[in-house]
Amino acid sequence: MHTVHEELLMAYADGELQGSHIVAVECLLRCDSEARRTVAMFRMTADLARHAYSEAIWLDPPPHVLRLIDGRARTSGWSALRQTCARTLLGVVWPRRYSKRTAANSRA
Amino acid sequence: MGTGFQRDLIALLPRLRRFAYALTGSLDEADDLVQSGCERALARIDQFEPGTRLDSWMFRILQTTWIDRVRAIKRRPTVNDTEQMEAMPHDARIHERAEARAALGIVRREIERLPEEQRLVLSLVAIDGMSYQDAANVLEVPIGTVMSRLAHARRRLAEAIEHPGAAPAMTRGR
Repeated sequence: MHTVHEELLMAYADGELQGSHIVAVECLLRCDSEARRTVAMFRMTADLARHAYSEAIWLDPPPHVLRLIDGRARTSGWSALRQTCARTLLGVVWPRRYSKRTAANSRA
Repeated sequence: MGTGFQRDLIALLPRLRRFAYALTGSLDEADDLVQSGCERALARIDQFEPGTRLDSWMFRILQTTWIDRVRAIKRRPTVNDTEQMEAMPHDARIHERAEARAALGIVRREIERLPEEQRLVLSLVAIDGMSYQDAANVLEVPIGTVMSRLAHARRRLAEAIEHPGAAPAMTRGR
């Protein structure tokens, strides 16, 4: 069975509810054992899922991925420097030539 | 965007790796997926808007990378599970059963059996701890869809854990 009611209980178990919704769910939990079991089920599944994959958090990051990020960042740094130099040179050389050409065009 | 992005991405690696582990079901595949995701991210570094959330952006990249892989695998003809089980040496089956007795091994196996869209939501909310709204942003679906998929996934997981072996075997992506 899957209902909006069940989603509300799940949101309560996950700490997603606020204010009057929390009060309403807690009122329901006091008198409805099925609702209590449902909340416990949602909490249990979240805990189990989290623990099932927790080892990935504690292991050192894969060295090849670190090298990849480090290497690309250096490359992108050099690439940015190259682009800046290129823009500077273009800014110095290209507008002068362009302005000479446009001046010649306007005279013609 | 240089070292700041690089530093933030490295800090994010454990979460990305856990997310990838939940999607792929194996740490080796998870590392491979994280590597592909980082390659994509670095190739599109200029598309990332500074000031926005890097974690949402990276989780979205990892998710789309994973979906592309699943689609590519589906296009390839594969040996089905029953054939694989029959081809497996007897000792391997015993080993698999022994491992399956470990509670968390069972949980991982059952999560792997969930339909793709349910596993994605479960990975973001229950495993990574994202809010429903953040998960909705990553997956680009309404928050109601996140809640519905998440409730289905957890109900299914609870039933499978309570009655191991009774759950119908499902393939990824259904």
